[in-house]
Amino acid sequence: MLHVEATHLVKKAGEAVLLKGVSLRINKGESFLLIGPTGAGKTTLLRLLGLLNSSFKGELSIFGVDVISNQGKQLEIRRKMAFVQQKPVAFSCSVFDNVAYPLKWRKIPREEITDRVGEVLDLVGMKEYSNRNAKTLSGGETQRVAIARALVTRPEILLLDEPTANLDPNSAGRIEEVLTKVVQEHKTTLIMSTHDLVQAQRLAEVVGVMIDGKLVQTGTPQEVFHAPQNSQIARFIGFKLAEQDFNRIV
Amino acid sequence: MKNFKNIALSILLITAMLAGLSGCDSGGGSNIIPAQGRLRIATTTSLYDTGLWNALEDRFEEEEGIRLDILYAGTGIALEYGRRGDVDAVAVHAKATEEQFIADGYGIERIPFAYNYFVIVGPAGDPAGIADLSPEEAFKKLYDTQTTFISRGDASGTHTKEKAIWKAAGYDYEEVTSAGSWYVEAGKGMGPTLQMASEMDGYTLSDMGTFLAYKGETGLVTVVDEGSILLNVYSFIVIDPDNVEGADAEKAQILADFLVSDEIQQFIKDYGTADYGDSLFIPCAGNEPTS
Amino acid sequence: MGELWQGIIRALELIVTFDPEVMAITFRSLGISTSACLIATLICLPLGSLIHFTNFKGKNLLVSLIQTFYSLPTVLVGLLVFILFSRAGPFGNLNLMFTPALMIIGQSLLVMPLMLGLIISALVSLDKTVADTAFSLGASRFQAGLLSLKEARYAVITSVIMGFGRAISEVGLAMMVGGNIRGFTRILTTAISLETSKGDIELSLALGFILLLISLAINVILSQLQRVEKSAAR
Repeated sequence: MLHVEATHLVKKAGEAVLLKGVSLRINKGESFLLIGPTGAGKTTLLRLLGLLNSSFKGELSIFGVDVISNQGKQLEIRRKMAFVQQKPVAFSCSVFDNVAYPLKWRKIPREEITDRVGEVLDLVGMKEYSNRNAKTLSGGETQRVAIARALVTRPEILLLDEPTANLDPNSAGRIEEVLTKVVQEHKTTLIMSTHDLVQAQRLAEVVGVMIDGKLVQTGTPQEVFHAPQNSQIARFIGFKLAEQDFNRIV
Repeated sequence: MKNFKNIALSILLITAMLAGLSGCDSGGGSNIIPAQGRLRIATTTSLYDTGLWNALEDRFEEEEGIRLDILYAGTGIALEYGRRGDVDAVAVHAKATEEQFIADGYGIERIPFAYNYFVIVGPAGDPAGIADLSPEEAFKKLYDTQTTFISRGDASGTHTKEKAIWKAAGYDYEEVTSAGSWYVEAGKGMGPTLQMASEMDGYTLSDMGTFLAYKGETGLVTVVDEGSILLNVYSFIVIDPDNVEGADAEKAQILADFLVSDEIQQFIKDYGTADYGDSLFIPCAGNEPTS
Repeated sequence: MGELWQGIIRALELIVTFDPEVMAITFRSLGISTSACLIATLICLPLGSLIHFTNFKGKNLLVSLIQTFYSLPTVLVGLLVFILFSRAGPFGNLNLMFTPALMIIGQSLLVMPLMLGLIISALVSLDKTVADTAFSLGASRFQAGLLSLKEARYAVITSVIMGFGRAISEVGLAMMVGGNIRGFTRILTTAISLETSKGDIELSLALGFILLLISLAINVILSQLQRVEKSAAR
């Protein structure tokens, strides 16, 4: 079943064209990883798919519902998704309250909230931080809280914008474990962008390469990394892999 | 801790509001919106500055059980409030203007309740030498010698009287206002105008009542106090409810009757004698005094 | 200088002896301005949030207009309210002229532009990611707005304080629509005005001193609150 179907998405910001006709299809339960150089439009695309931005041209259906002609249903659809920003912001309250917010907004009863929040904080390893003021957390800790906050609603589609970019290898690994577990157990559709090609290889069923506002190739990691469609992609991948190798050695 | 702070703040706010609103009517009447049941009158500054109205207010409220709201305003504004129906009665002292007001249908009738005389006052020693002249002659001399004169300049009863004297002395009021910087238009109430005269060592026209009340502070003395033109009659006018919507003529009439009652007329006569040695007002029980 | 000193001494005398008329005037001032502020806050919080989060043509124009009204002369607002609520005016049959109720209405109108503008400013300077995050987690517009106001609470509290400051220190409107009636609509500012024009400078100073004390007290309490909030966030 198709969870996301996008046809020829075009997004402009003033003079600049950020997305130049992007089309893709994502199936239920699929893990779709977006890679590409900075400024390629990954964040823009993610935000669009997450219904955080409604000024674009083209067609977009989520859960089979055309979002443009069904404006009224947008809140309903958004509530079945969750988005984690690149630099997530914690609300000025305790960690527990932060994670509880999405459930409060959906009017979930109190006891259930307590259970679910506890459960998901456990999952990301932040249970002891429950009562801490979320503003006092480190970058990695905030990231984990943000992910917990997104997961607590048991979303059908989970969107993440470079979730491990600012984390140390340990925390990054932890997050990957969480994501893998969640995807396995709940068959969550995962749409994520990353700079780390090896991570893409690990987590993705489908990889999409974005260069300069266009989705230039999609396919399995195997296909993309070993058979890039053009030199531009090849260069990007080659360069990226070399860089990563270099960083690993050093 | 956060909840405690929120509760504390809310309590503080609500207390402030309740305290404030209950303090609104310090006479013990009902609270913030009781326009029903209150009698509103506008009175001239010269009557108010003498404190007569404050004294009458307390007595009236006690005897009749009606809350009285007194607005302190010049005759001009007082009559405007009356035309708009924002007050139920006016107590002013500009006969011609009052008669026009009634002719226009805003007021029912003029009920004179007290009178005194205007006086021309000035610095002790009378530098302009106008003592013993008639009011009209005195004004002429002030004009010719360009002696500092403070005018009310505010369409009040006193100001109207002043203009009448200038006219009687043969001047066009326009001439006077543009005659020079010696002629000062204060735009204030009687009390403040007297103080201004005192500070500037000038002359001014005042009603006897206010002058006596402020005599101690200002150090001014009466210079010209004789002349029929100086008669100053205070009248009470009930606003006509037939032509002005919302005017409470019933309560206003109760106040009118109160003012001309024997008891209050005596009170008015005695008012101020203890403090100032002289009556500030002469009662006239509804009848127009002749001189 | 002697006059000033006399004023302060008289003020202390009046306060310490709980002079009834002065107390009544003081509490009345507080009551009226607090009520006006409360009404304005209840209206401006949702309205400010709505304006901020909705995009519509002429939004910038509206915000500029609101800012223009920040320091609208109080006598002008007073005149407007007077004309509207005079018995001869459109709302005349409400019979509110020269009552504290009308003063409350008038003062809330007076402070609303200021409060509205400052609340919108507060939301604008809030990190845009906050509202974004809220939406991305399934908050409705209303819920996201509520969260934003909570996140911007220092600035919001400051807006309210500033509104209160404007209300309690104004005299033009209170005079015109209240009438400065002894025992009913006389408040600190109008009483000071009256006593000065009658020449009782000492009493004016005394009342002025009390007004100053009130302003100081409010500011101290609220900046304390802000400090507590700030340190809690650390």
